[in-house]
Amino acid sequence: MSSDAALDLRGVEKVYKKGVRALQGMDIRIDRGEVFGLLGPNGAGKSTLIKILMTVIRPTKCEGHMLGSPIGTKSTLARIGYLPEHHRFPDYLTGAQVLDFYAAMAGVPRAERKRRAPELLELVGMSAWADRKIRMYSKGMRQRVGIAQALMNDPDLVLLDEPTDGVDPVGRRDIRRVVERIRQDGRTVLLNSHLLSELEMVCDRVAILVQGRVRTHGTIDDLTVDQRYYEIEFELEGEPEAQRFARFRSAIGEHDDKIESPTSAGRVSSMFERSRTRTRLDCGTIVLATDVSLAAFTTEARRIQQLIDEARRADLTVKRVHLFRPSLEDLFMDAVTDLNTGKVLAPGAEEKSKHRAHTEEVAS
Amino acid sequence: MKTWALFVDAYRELNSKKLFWITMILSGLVVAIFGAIGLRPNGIGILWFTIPSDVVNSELVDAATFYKSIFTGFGVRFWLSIIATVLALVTTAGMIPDFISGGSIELMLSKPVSRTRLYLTKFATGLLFVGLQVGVFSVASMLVIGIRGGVWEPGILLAIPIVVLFYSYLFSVCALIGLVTRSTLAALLLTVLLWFVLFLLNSADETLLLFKTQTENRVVQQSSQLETQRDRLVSLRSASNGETEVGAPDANETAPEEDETGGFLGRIGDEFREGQRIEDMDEEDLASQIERLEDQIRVNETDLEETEAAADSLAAWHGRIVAVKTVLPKTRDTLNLLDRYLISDQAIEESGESRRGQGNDEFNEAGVQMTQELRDRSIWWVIGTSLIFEAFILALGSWIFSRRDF
Repeated sequence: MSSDAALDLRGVEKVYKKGVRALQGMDIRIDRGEVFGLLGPNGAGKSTLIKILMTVIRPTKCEGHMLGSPIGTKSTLARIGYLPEHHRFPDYLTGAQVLDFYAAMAGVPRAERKRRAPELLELVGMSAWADRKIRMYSKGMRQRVGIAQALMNDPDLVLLDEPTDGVDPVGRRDIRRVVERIRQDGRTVLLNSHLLSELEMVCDRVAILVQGRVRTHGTIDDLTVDQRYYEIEFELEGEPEAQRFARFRSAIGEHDDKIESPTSAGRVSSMFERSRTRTRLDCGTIVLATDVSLAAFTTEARRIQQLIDEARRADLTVKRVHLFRPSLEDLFMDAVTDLNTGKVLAPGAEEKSKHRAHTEEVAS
Repeated sequence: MKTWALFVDAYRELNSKKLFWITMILSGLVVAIFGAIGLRPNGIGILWFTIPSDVVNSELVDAATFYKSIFTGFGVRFWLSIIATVLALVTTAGMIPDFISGGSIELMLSKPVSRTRLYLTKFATGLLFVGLQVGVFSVASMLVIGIRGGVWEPGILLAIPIVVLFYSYLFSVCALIGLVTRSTLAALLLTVLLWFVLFLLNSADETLLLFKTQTENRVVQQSSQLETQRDRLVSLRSASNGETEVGAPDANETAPEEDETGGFLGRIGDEFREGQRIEDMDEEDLASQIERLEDQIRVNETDLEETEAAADSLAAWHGRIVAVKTVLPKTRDTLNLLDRYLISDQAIEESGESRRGQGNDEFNEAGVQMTQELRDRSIWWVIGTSLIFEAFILALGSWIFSRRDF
């Protein structure tokens, strides 16, 4: 394992007693200092993976290292901060006592605990509530204290399982700032969240889990690079302009049904799904055209300059030029959609019998 | 540091529970009542009232023994080992199910602490409730005995480890059930059920031991009396054969005292009721006496055989109960250890002596012997085998806790 990997997992499998296959050979690598987002539908195995890392559950099979030690090494946990999903702190403790107790359990010396607790409560905006019982806290407040708790042991790797669950927009923004602060401090963060927009804003890389496997992973730019295109919209007022645009469209090229989908995932804006013209320019750029706009499938701005020049020569008014990029939600939906049937995969992990049937089907 | 943190957390948890403080206040009230009781020349005094008693008064019983007896008999055996234990179980039965509940256990398991240590430490913190309760109660009781009884008896503090040990047997099972079922109610009810089974076993042990001792005593008495009858028969036969001078050492024997119960011992004296001496009997009397004595010996031999059979049966059943108890925690025997250190053998004997002549002496004698036999049971058998049971249950719990996915 290279020294710059905070987490390097290979072939992680977890089969529960009743044959439910939560993880089916998952490979993941997270570099030190990056914020890594883990997303997937319910039952995809995200929490199972985090619980395996934290020794809460035992893997059926797991190879790899975390912070240089084999997975399951208890002493490594002293260098890891963890906020579980649906965590429940003892409600008879105050916020400050929660931080002190869990830090003590992590082996943080008393003097260090006394120093860090006020700092972290300040960081998450909970100083005023430090001495009040947890039972008086709202869900969002508990999440804030939970994040502070995860940082008490000055961890090298922080695992946050749904940190913004139940948190209002202001709280989500604050938590995002805390995550950015953690990254600035050079720590590694593994973030598990359903809020894709949250992940999109803070994650360097993401992995999308579906039924216990990594469906896709990389930076959001990497994942969308072949799905971006320029959309040129024209202002067509009256029949003369519409006719000019139709002539312009014909001049670009003949409609060719043989040209396949221009993106890897086959996604284009819905307005281009029934395009009147589908053609390929001399430079290789595929262009789709509707009654009012063009889509040029390139990420290079210089390649669309010629199109714009020709449109203006045809006396057309360019209303808007926009670089379309799929959102993380689009990527997510792609990942959880069955390419053969076009249907969204059912939530939950795969059962062993179904997995066997599926394997046999593939083999035959 | 981690163990200390868990204990501090356990204290905070107890501190937040109303039942803990209610039990503490009730303990204080029990000690206050304890202090309000006193010995007076004519009986037992409670505040300014006096309950007259010819047996328990300051003329016959010294104050220290009186207070120690109340402490062990009521304070420990009733209050701490029943009422306070039930309250402790109600309070702590949820400790393990809460500990392993979703959202809580993940945080604990994600810390650099082994699961075995976590489970055993959590178990130990469960004993804190009883430890604090019995600690406060014992210290307060020691002060009461010192001030009111005039004797400073540090041995009372032995109640702390003994009661905690007793509770640890039950709580080890409670923790295991809580771990397996994840249910506070199941943990509580099944532990109480086990406790009830142990109560039945202990009661069976003591009852069978009492009857066994009583029956064995009866066998000894019957054998002895039968031997007397046989000697008498030999004497009568010798006299009948004209050998009185030579073969009748008991010729001048007088009739034995009649048994008050009118039972076996009563029958052997029938032939002597008239107080007739053998040399005064004629041939006809001798023949009649011999015939009657032979009949009675046959009846008494049958009775003895039945008593011996009953004694053997009781001994066998008692042996089985003791064998079953050997592999289970010995709750009552453990609590009885406190008596051994606080109440002397001499005081037990004096207690038996004082009851002599007040009813069934045979029963009282057997009671004293039973008490002595219970006191003579080895510490190894009482505590050692109980701790083996507890260690097994804890090891099983640790193993399950270490292997389970949460």
